[in-house]
Amino acid sequence: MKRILLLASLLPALAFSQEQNKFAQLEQELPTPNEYRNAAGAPGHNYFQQKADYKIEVEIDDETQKLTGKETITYTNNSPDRLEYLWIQLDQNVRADDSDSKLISVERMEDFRSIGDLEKKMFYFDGGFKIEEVKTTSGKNLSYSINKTMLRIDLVKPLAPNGVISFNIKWWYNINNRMKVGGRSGFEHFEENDNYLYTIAQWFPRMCVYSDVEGWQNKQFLGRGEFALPFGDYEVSITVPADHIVGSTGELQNPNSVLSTTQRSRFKKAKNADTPILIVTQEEAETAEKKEQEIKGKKTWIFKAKNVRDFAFASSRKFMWDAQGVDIGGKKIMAMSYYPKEGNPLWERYSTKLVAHTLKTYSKYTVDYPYPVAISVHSKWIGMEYPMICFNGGRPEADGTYSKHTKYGMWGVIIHEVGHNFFPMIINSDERQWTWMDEGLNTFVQYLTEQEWERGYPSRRGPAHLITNYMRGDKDRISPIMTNSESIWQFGNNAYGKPATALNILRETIMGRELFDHAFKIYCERWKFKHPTPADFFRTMEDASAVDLDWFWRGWFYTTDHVDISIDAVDWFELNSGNPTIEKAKAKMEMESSDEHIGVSRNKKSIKETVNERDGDIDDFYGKHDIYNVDALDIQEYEDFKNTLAKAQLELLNSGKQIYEVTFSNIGGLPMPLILEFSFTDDTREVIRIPAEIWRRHEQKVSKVFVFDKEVSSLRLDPFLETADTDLDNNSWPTKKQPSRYELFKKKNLRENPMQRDLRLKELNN
Amino acid sequence: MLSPNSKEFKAVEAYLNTHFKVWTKELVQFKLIGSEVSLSGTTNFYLESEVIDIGTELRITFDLLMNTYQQQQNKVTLKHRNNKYTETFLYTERTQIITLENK
Repeated sequence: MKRILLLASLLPALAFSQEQNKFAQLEQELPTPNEYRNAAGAPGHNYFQQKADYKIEVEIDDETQKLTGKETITYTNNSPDRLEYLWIQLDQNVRADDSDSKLISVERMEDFRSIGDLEKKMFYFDGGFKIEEVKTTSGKNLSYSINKTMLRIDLVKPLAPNGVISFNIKWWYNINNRMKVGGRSGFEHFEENDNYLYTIAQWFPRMCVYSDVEGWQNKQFLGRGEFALPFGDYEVSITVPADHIVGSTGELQNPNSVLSTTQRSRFKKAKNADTPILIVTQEEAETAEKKEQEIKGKKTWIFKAKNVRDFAFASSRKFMWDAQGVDIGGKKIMAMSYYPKEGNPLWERYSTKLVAHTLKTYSKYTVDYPYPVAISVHSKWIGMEYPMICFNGGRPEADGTYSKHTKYGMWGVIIHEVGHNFFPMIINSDERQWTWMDEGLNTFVQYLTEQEWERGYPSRRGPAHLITNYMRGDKDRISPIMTNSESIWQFGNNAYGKPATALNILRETIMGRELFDHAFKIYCERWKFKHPTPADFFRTMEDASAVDLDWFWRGWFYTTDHVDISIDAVDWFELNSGNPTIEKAKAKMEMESSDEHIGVSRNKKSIKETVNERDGDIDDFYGKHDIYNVDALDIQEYEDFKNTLAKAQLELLNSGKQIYEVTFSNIGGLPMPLILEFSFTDDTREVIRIPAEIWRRHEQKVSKVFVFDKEVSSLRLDPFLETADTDLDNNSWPTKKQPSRYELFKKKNLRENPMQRDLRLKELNN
Repeated sequence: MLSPNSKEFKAVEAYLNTHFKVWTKELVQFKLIGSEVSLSGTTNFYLESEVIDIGTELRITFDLLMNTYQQQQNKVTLKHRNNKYTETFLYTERTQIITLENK
């Protein structure tokens, strides 16, 4: 319905502000900036971090699946504090008999329906570190105490600022059967030929982080909140059966003693190859796993890694191994994969190419990949990340076929886990505290990487519309992103999906690609090889872009609000030109074209003549007066009115502008920009983007006036699905309900499977 | 996509009917008419009932996957006339009642 707007009614609308908090600055929520972390989100002028160097000897006993190790840790105290004790992480103890993780899992009797369920609960595994000794480098016992997954060494003399201490630890543990006990690491046993594939991690006592934020980060490892580790240099000697192939964090130091001449020459060739080169072929791996020409004895593989926060490796005689050099930042990096034949045909075809692509894409958006190698190891079911190496699922069927899901699952997990080299291995946030800081940021760059791998890649997380079902859920079972890892409801959506989506929305909608990419890269550069916190991220993104994002962090990261903005009303106005010749003619036309009561229409025919038609004396002034007639007085008044207007005002008045007042409600609570697509009666369109700040004083309801030269035929809110609006039914004017998936399904007539369809096609062609 | 004549299709239909139940005056019988698996990780199953008198109140039990995943959260969004109702189902709250507004 269009209304004519009289100039006199153009009164300024008075806006009354109400108490608001959605746009309040985050100052109270964020820690006060200081000399260690500044207000711009960068490391402060006195930023410090500790260093932990490791020299380790480790051996895997393939008969008993037992790992034995001894290490010398050299710990440098770069903090301004004197440390009376040191804390060391014993992550394997999460599988120890007295582990809290088992005790704190919620169980109900309904969970135990079968003897198998009960058996699983009763399953006993002698896991956990067996610490044999903790000694000074001169062999004296150090006083230590174990509190579940943490070990405290009490120093005879506190470690002073800039002080360095070295000490030795000896230990062993039973390696878990990953397929039975689960876990991020462990072994997989292959019945055929009785072989083991080891993916080894969290395998040595590791220093805790001591920082300006947490002091010692010694929050117990309960199984979910992952790791916080200081950087350092590693030299690790890995002793395994002589016929095993080892893939590891770091660079191999003794290729001459562990690799054959052929393998070394293939490795050399791989460096400059533009496609992966096999260093161990499938045929060779299959020969090894049959153990027909069993090579007795052991071999020790020595690796060195500089400036890493952890160390992991994989070992098996089943491994094929391929590699390809990748050029990044003027350096040659070896992208490599290790996999058993069970991974083929997928692994040989894709794994190393995915590693190479991931390194390139992440280097573009974050920092140049700084390490010499990047490895993807095939381990059934899981995806788990360590510096330079990760363990990834994606196994074809035994017959060599695989579903599309297996393929995309494998692609996605490799990109994701290799991507973890950047978050958190290089940009080293505290995983024990904040899962989203590595998983969310990583999932975001994973999305960018997937889209560059294949056009239209079906990414599971990143696009705004994929998070809406989660966000509109029961708020009692949704946590804010800013929740400690252990307490999160719906882990994947909370810590991976929602932050990745939020960053994508910042990039596409709130900040724009240029500002976002610049700020995101600044964050990565500032915090590479350092320990950033959420505040450092929030502050840097604002500081480097001049976009006030406090409302965005507040809404998306600190609350469980969702996005649901509705178009409530569209009111249409047209300016009254004041010109009687135009306006009276228009009024007459409207009157004549208006709907007529049925009695009036019928009476026109049935009443042949009325009294006033017959008797000319009935109609007086009013009866004869034509209200649509323009007389001299009308003209005079119009001329007088025109004289009060400036030329530009008069032109505007005669412009025929179409004016629309649109009213919006924020039902979901999250303020978001209004992205509006107006369609006009001449089939043209115009998109208008209104920043989220329109909600800053009116949190529930806002209105906006739009002026066009043309008549609007329809209006859509969020037409490009970029704001994660959870209800699209209230996003159109005139109201247009989204067809349900059910309706779409029925329309598509998918009652047949693709093969049945193919049969029909063949019949048609015959 | 599963073929409607396959054993698997019948098994899925039976499983869905066990873990997604809707009562009006009586239990609504659903027939699985098909499914779609999207590569973004979502699977859609489409169920259809005969024409029923929907009445004013629906009792829904929806505990699909909850025996395997305790944190599974199920949601029903019901569109009826011009109204939209959403209910969430948790391990501890597997049954919900939707009262329909007759407008």
